[in-house]
Amino acid sequence: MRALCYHGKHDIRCDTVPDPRIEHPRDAIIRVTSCAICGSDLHLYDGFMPGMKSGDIVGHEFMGEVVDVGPENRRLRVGDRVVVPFTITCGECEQCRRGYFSVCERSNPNRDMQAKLFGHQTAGLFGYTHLTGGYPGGQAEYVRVPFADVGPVKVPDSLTDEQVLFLGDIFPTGWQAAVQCDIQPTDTVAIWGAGPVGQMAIRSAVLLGANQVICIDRLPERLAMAQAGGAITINFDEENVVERLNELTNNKGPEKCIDAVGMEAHATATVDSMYDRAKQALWLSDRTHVLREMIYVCRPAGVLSIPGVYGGFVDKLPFGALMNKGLTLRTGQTHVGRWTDDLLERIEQGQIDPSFVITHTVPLEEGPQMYRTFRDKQDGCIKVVLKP
Amino acid sequence: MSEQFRGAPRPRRGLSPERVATGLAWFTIGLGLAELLAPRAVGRLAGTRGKDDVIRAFGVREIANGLCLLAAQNKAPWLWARIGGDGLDLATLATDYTDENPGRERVLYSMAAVAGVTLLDAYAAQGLSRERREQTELVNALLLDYGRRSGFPEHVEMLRGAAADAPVPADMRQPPALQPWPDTPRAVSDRTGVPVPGPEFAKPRSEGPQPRPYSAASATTQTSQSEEADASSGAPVTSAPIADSLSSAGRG
Repeated sequence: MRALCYHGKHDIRCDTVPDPRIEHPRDAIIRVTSCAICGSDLHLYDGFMPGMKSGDIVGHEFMGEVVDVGPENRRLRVGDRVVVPFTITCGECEQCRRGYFSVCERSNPNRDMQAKLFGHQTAGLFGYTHLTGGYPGGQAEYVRVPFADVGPVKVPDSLTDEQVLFLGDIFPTGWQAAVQCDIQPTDTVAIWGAGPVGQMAIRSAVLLGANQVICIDRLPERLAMAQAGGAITINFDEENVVERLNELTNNKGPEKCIDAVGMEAHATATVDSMYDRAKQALWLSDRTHVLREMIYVCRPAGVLSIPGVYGGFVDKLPFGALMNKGLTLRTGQTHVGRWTDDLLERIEQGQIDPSFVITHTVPLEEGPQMYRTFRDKQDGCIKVVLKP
Repeated sequence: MSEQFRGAPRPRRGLSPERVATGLAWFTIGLGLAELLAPRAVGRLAGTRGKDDVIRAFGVREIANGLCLLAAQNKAPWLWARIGGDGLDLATLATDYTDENPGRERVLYSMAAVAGVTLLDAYAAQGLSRERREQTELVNALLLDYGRRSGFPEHVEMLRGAAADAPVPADMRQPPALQPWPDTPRAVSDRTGVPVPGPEFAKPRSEGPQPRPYSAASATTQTSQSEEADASSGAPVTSAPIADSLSSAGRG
């Protein structure tokens, strides 16, 4: 089969690799009909995520048709149309039973390696680093889904791939980012990053009833999309973010702040961003300009929600401000299964159509070129869907 | 679905205007330094006579232009400025293209060299201006398209709060004891004098596990027992004195 494989920094290729097969009685094999490039795939592409090996199949946002199931999988049948969450969950461990699917205690076979870095293991992820299991990803024609009797979401034929594909990652991720802000009707929610997750977080915050949603980015086309979703926009190339946020909140600061950027924060000619770039090149720190700004501007007793991906250490974090302002920090990979039923229902009801975010649809073979286009934000690229 | 934008802009064959512009910037800085530091040698090479001060001034102009060209995000205006400067160079050289000048031939070569550089300037300036125009057109088209992509079936204001009833898990809510107090009704604590919420806010707390009465003698045991009870019931941990003051406020 054809699949997009990692071969090093800035080197993704469309290779021919062996077809996957059932390895465990609970497995299923999915023929991928649509998959997407996620913003967190760019961390692999840019070489900032440790634990990648040459030849790894990438991609963790995908859906398709079940073509084979293991003998112990009694939930899926051949022919079922499913969206597969990017976090692999066993559904049986203590964390899964509590609904903390992204920290499943059994789905990461490389738990010892990860525990050395993080203290404890988290769930296995598709198409990501070997620290999270090294499972082959979904930017391929076929993919093996472990614990397939727990995660995959059966979707009705009445909805298109484009409408439901993002249930596997960015929609629940944006939703969880907003939900864990515990949004009140009087709240101002500030969202850093108008990429795909930021766009979903904007819509989620609006649906959850935020009084005011503000989005911070620098690309006019992304800000236009954010504005269409109901956000007030701040272009950080043109305006001072802190001043503008204070102006929009009567100098009180936003009560809720969401970091939809993560470890590769871009900032224009600020001293701290140049410092971050130098330290990141030496693997000493992620780029944390957004975190610093959030902590600084958030209203005291507010909430910081961090769906943006970080990989290692952060430097010069103003923890004094965080502590003295009494801020609450909520973060984590998305507990996808916790939200999918509710979100699928909302899509079926027509409350939201997540396909609005798709800007490019190309065959799988054009994937390597689209990684570059997406990374460089060329051609108005916000979300790429690949068709194997 | 709205129109989709496909594929990255194709890389141009040969030298891109951007690369030519960068090369010209370094060339002009080098030439400018030579003109500023060794005007006589430059003049001799170009076949001119007695123009040291003019050559020095031209050197300053070249260095300033080169630095601006390197630093500017939009390089096209600086390249057009270079073409103006090239015209000035040609006019100055032309004044030395006389029968009396023994370096007349050198002046001719110099004028040909300046004309060649002018062609490069024009190529880069035109190319960058065209790229900028195309970029502006693309961004305008994107703004028009993306500005209509709300993802909602109705106007955004019709849907604000449509999911306010969505289940927010208890572990993602602010713990009840730390939730902001409502503005009204208000009361004042008998013991501390601080403003506290009225009975409406205190009421739901009585539905949870009741705090044990606090006594200094059994404080250690009490706390650990209380924590155990709270952990097993999954309820938020509340220390007895705080709960006591809140219920007292409720009475107030």
